[in-house]
Amino acid sequence: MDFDKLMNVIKGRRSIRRFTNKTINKETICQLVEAGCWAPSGGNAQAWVFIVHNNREKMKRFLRFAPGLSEVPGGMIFVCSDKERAYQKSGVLGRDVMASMDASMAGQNIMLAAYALGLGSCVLKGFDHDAAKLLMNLPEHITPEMLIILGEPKSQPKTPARRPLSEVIHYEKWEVK
Amino acid sequence: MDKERIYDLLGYITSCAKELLVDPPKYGPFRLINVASRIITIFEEEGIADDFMLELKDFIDENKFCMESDEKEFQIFLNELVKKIAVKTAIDLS
Repeated sequence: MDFDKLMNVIKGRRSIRRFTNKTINKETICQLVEAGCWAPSGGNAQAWVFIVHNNREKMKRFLRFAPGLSEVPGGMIFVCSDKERAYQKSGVLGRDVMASMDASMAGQNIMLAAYALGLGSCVLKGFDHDAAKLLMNLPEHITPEMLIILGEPKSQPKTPARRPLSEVIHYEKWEVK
Repeated sequence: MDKERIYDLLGYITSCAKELLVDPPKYGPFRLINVASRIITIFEEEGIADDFMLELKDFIDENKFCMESDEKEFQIFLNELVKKIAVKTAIDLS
């Protein structure tokens, strides 16, 4: 394992919101979902479901109900939690807290894998959940946690500054900074 | 005009209104600017957008995302955007 290469991927990933018209093929999207499935999950519940899209006409419908979506991307993955499975595997905490956290970790894996494949991605919460559930025919126990948009980047945004480590690390106890 | 495009806009505006109840305040101006861009897109598809509108749309789409990274830059962008329309209005009226 090469730490520097891994850090280059982690640091190189940007939130990309503008894409070329290139459609991301199903095989590539499946590779990304596989990366998502290797994320850790509370109690190994793996209480996630991925609704994937790469049909431009169908994705266009989501522009109506996703304020965070500015244009039709090359592909989309709705990372969803399965509340029923989360409850069966990990109880109330699993259903109410961990399933969302697990979905987030899966989402990060997907975005890093996308970057490693030369694709841009951006995670969105700005979509109407009720409309998304209706449009994708999701049963009650499946919650769309986040939408990851994918595509060939049209441009590379500036790298936003990160808070310095000295500001965010506290050694062993809370320190007033 | 294609009615579906109007429904696209109506869906977007109403979804924005709902989301803005919980979104950070800075998303308000960002969503409004997106609406402006989407209106121009509809006009473009209907063949009634003029060159100025298309330039405006490019300007919006190129700059709007600085809202996330640099609020000061976003403010400057909005100032410039309104100024462009004001200059056009002044020219049209003269």
